[in-house]
Amino acid sequence: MSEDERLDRLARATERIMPRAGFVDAVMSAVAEAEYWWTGLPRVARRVLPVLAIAAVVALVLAYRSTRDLDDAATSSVSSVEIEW
Amino acid sequence: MSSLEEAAQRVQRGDASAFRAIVEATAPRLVRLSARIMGSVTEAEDVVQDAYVKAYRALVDGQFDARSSVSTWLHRIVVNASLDARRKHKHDPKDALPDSGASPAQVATAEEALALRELAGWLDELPDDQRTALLLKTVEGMSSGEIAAILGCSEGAVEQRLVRARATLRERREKGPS
Repeated sequence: MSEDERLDRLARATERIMPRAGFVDAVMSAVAEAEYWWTGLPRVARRVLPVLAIAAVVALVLAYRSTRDLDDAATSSVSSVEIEW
Repeated sequence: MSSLEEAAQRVQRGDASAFRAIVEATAPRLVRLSARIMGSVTEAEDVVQDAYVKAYRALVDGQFDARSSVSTWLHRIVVNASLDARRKHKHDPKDALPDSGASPAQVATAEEALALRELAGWLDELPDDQRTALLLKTVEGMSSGEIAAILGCSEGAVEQRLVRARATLRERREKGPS
């Protein structure tokens, strides 16, 4: 038997192979488990999300620094008060 | 535009349920292809399921650029995943799950399981690229153009792999029974 004849025989012997019943449901369950919470968002929103996250972090850092500067200024002004007798 | 391409666009727009249409349309062919590479339906189902999860994430993350058809793209993912899994099982044979021990719900009959093992065992000594080209051409009945798109090479390279694969198998047959 030639190589092509043997391949043809094996192709015919395996041509009715199908996934088990319920395979599609199993795949969809696996897909749902692998889904990120942001998957349901529109694509544009998903693209903007990282930018918004970075902007939020930067805003927090700036807010912290300005609060600290304000505290420093208040502390230094208090320490430099001259008391006259 | 084909129904697969339409479904892929719906998934990209956030409609996860559209992915079911893609799976229903492609699963029989992809599981059969993977089983022919792996030599086992049980393992093929695991590999194809993982491949679908990867494909879904790629669609959602916008990594599918539609340069090839959805079908070709899925075939490429499944072929690569099957070859990777087969390589892993070759190094670690205890991972392999023969279909003969599968549950009664398994679709492969004893004859089909035997044929799968014969096919995988016979082509086992061929390099991955030659084995895949030969399977896609003579067993799956694909054109050289389709195979080239799946394997990411030229049609000439596909033809060359087919010639080499047949020559290796013929040489082995002439040397003695496999």
